[in-house]
Amino acid sequence: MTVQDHVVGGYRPIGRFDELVDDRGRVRPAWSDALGVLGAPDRGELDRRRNEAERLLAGAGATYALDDRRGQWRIDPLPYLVAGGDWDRLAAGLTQRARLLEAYLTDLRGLRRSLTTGTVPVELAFGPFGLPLTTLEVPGSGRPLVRYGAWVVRGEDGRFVVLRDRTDDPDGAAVALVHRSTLSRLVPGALRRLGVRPQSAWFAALRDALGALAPAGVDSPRAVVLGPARGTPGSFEASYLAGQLGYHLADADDLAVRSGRVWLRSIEGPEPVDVVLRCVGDDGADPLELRSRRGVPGLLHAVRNAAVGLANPLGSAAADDPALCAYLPALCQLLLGEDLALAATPTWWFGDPRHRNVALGRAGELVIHERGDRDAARTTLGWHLDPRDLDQLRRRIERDPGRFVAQERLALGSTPVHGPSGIEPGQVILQALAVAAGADGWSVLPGGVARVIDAGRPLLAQRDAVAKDVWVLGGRSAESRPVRLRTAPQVDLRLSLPSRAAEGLYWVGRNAERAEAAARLGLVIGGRLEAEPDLADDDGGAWAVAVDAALRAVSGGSGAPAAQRTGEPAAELAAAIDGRPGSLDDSLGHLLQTAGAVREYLSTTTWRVLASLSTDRAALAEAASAGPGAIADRLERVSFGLAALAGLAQESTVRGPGWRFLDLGRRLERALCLLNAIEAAIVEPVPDAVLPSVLETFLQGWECLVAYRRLHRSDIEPDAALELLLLDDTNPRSVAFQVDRMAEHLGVLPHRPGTAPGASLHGAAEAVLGTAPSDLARTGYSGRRDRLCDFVLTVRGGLLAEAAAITETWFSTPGTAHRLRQELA
Amino acid sequence: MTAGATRYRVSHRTRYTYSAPVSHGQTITHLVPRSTATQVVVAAALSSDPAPDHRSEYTDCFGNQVTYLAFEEPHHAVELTATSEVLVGPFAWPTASPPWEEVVATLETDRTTAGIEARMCRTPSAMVTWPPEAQDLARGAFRPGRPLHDAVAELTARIHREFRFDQSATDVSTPVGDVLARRRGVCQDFAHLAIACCRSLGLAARYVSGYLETLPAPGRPKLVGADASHAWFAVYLPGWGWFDADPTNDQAPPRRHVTVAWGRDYADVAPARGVVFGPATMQELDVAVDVASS
Repeated sequence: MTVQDHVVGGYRPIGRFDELVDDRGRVRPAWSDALGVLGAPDRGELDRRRNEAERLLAGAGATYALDDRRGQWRIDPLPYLVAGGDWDRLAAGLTQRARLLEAYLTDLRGLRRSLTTGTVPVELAFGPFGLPLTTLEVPGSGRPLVRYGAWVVRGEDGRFVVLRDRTDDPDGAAVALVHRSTLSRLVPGALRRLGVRPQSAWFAALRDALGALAPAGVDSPRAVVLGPARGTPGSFEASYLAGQLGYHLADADDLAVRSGRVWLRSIEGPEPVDVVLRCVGDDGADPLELRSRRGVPGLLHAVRNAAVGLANPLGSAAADDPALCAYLPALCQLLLGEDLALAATPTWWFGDPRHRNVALGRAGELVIHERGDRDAARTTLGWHLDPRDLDQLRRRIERDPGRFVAQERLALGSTPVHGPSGIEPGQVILQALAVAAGADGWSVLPGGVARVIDAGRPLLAQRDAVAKDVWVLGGRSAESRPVRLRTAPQVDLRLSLPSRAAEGLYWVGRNAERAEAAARLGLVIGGRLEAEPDLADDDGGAWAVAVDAALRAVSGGSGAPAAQRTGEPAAELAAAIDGRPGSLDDSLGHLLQTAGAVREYLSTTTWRVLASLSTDRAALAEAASAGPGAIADRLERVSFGLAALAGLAQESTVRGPGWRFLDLGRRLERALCLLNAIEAAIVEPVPDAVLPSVLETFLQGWECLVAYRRLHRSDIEPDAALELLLLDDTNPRSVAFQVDRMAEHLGVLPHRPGTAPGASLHGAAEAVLGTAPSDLARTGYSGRRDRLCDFVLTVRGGLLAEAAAITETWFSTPGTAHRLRQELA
Repeated sequence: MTAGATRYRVSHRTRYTYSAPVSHGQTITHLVPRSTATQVVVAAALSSDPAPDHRSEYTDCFGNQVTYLAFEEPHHAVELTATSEVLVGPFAWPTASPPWEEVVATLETDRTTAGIEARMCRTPSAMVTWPPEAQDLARGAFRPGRPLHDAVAELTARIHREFRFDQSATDVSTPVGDVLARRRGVCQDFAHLAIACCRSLGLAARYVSGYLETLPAPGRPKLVGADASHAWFAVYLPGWGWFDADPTNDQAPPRRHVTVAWGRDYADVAPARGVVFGPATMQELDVAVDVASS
C-alpha cells in the first residue's frame, strides 16, 4: 500500500466522472504527480494547511472588511487541477464565447442581424434586461467588451459546460491572485515542480487592454479603478486590483463629470481621468442616464463625448443574460459562422412563446432563474418544490414571463476537496476570466477561482462557499509564454493623491496614534498596579485619581471634572479598553476600518500587522474583566502591534503626499492626546508628593522615561519632566516635536490656490517657543497650574484650528448628489 | 402638409430654485419638439439662464432631440426656456385594421426595421409594469376579433370614463398598479395605463410627450393638461405605422396636440432630468407652458 493509497483509499467518486481517480479506481496521472509534490497530506496536515492559508488570507486583508468579524474567507488547501490539454480546449471555447458576445453587442448597435434573422427575439435584446437604449448610440471608443468571465462546471461526462457568461463586472482576478500567493506558501516550490502556468502575463494583458481604451490623442492615459462603496462585498477586489495595477482606486463620490469629461478629486484639485476600470455594475455607474442607484452622474455623457474609455463599456451587461444562453448556438452560427465549441446548457426563455409551454410543463425538473439576479439569489430548483409551490411559481412566471429562464439540471463530475475526513470527493464551479487583447483577440487567465459547491443551493449561488485556487498544469500555451507587451507610457503618479485616500491615510494615522496612547498608558498603569497593589490607595489615592483622569482623556472619557474622578484604576482600565466610544477597542475598530478604505496604499506586511491587531482586539473584551495583570498582558501585545505599524510607516513608506497625510494625522493626534492627558491629570492640583510619580507614569507612557534618566540621572523633577514631554524638540514624543513635523508637512504638501494650510499652527508653535520650562509646573494662588493650563489651551486651540483647516483644504467635498425633481405631465 | 395644418407657438419655461447654492449640476432635456409625419418644426430654441458651461445636442435612438446642459459654477437657480413654432397637420388614424390578435401574432415575428423598433415597446419598461388587473381592463375593450384601431379607441374612452383626473393623487413615479387601484391620476398616468393595457396583450405601445392647446372660447370646457406638459400614447399597426390616442381627453385621434418626443415611457422622454451637487436640501420646480395657435 503506497502513501497515496493511504490518502485516497476511502475515496469514492460522486458521479460518473471523477478527476482524482479513473473508472477503475486508479489515481489519474495529474493527481498522482500532484499528491507527490503536495506530500500526500493526511487529514491533520490538511487541517493545518487550511488554518495556515486562512491566516495568510487574513494577512492579505482578504475579508470584506478587517473589522467585520463575519466575513470569514474560507479556502481549501488543495488546488483545483486542470490538465494543460483540457485547459487549452476550455480556453479556446471561452475565447469563442467572448468573441461571440462581443459580436452580439456590436450587432445590436449596428446591422442587427441577430434580430432581422429572428435569431434573438427583439424583446430579449432590448427589453427590461437587455441593452439599455441610452447606450445604443454610444459605442464608446474601444471594443464593446473588454473583460469577460464565465461560470464553468465539469459535467459527468468530463466536458466543461458554461453555466453563465459574465460581461458586466466579471470579478475574481484579484481573488485568484490572492489565492495563488496563499497556496504557493503552503508548499514552497510546488507550483514550479508541477509546472503550474503563471498568471502574471495576464495581468500585464489587462493593463495593456486598459491602456488601449484611452481616448484618441491621449498618450499617457490616467486610469482609475471605480470600486463599490468601501466595506461592501467587492471592495476587496477593486482595491486589490488597484494596488496590483498601480491605479488609483475611486468610488463614485471621488469622480465627477465636468466639462464633458471625468475628473478625480485629488489633493491638488481635479485630475483628468482617461480610463475607468469599472468594478461596479451598470446599475452602479450613472444615475443620470442609466437609472443607476449610485454612480457618477454624466459618465455615459463623457463616453458619448469620447472623453473616457470604460472597461467594461456601459451596456455590456446585456450579454450577461441567462435568457441569451437559449439562443447562443444559433447566434454563433450566424455571427461567427462556427459551431459553439463548449457545450451549452439546454435553456428556455419564458418570454419566447415557442419555449414557454415546454418549459412550463417541465418546470418541476428544471432550474428556474430570474434575469437580472446576478448572484442567483432568487434561483429556484424546480425539484425542491412541492406541487403547491410549483403551481405558485408557474403563476408568477405567467404573470411576467419575460423575467424567467429555465435551464436543464446538470449532473456534475467530482474532484478531490478537503473534507472532514481528509481528501474527499466534491463538486466545484469555476469562475474563469478573459481580457481583450489587441484588435480582436482574447487572453484567458490560466486559473481562476473555483468554489466547492454546497449541494443544496443553486450552482450559481456559491459566492461565499469554500474557495479553491485553480492550477493549470504544464503544456505551455500561448498564455503562459512570456509576452512582450506594448508598454503604455505612464503618468508619474507619485505626487498625485486622491482626496479620499489622503483623508483615509490621515485618519489611519490619527486612529493608530489614539489607540497607541490608550494602550501604552493603560499598559503602564496596569503594570504598576500589578507590581504595587497598594499604589491605588497611597497618598489618599492621589496618584490613582490623576492617572485615571489621564487615561480617561485618551480613551473616550475625556476631561472628566474633578467631582467625577473615580480613583479606581482597575475599573477605569477596564472601561478604557472596552465598552465606550473612544475606548481602545473603539479606536482599534476605527483604525481597521479606515485602513480597509485605503487598502491599496498599505503593504502586505502592514496587513499582517493589522490582521494580528484585529485578533488582539477581539481578545480585549475578555481581558477587560480579568484584572490589571491580564489587561496589561493584552495591552502589551496591542502596543507591539501598534509599534510595528508605526515602524512600517516610517521605514517602508515612500515619502510622498500619502505618507505625509498619514504622518500628519499621527502627529496631530499624538500632541492632542498628550495635551489632553496632561490637562486632565496635572492642571488641577496634585499633591507635590505625588507629582513625581504621576509624571513618571507619563514619561513611561510616552516612552521617554529612559531618556529622562539618561538626561538627568535624578528622581523625577516636575520642571524637567514637563520640559521633556512638552517643549523638547529633540524628543519624538514631545508636543514641540509634533508641531515641528506638522509644520514641515504642511509646508511641503501641494494645495489648491487660495488655501493656506499651516497658518493656524503658528499660534501653537509660538506658544511652544515662548514658554519657559520653569513656568510650567508653577502653581497659582488657587493651587492650579495656570501657566500650564494656558499652554495647553493655546497649543490645543492652534492644533484643532489646523485640523479644521486640513479638512477644509483637502478633504471637503462639493456636497452630495441630488436628483432634480421632475415635471408631472 | 401645410394645407389643413395649424401653426402653433409654444413656450415652455422650467425653473429650478435651490434653498442653498449648488456647486455644479447636469441636466438632460427633451424640450425641443421633433418633426413627425404630420408635424414640421419651423423654428425651435432652448435657452438657459444662467448660460450652461457645457452644452451638447444629439438625437436619441427614437429620433428625439436631446439637449445636455452642464453648469459648472455655483448657482441658486436655473431657468430653461424652450420656444418653438410648429406646423401640425391632422393626426393620422387607420380606417381599417385586422383583429388585434392577428396584430399580436404578426408582431411576434416582425423583423422589419419599423417592426423591430416597435417591439422595443412591447415589454415592461422602467415605468410601465403592470398587475394582472391591467389585462382585465384591456380585455373590456379588446374583445375577441375586434379590429385593433376600434379597440384602441374604446380603451381610450374607457380610461377617460372610468378614471378621474386628479393632480393630488399622483407624482412622477406613480406605478400603474396604484393608478388602477385608486382609479385616478394625471395625463402621464393615463398614458402609462393605456400602454400597460396594450402591452399586457402583446401589442406595441409607446409614450408620447408634448403639449395641448387650450381653447378659452366661451361655453366650451377648458381642456385639461393645458398649463404643463401633456402626455398620451400611440399603438403600432404593422404595415401601417403608429397611431396616437389621448385617454385624458378621450381623443382618438388627438386634436390640437403638439408632439415633442416619444419613448417607452415617461422615463425615456422626461422634459428635464438632472443631478446637482451641493448641500441643497430644498428645491422648487416651477413650470409654465403656453401654447397658442395662429
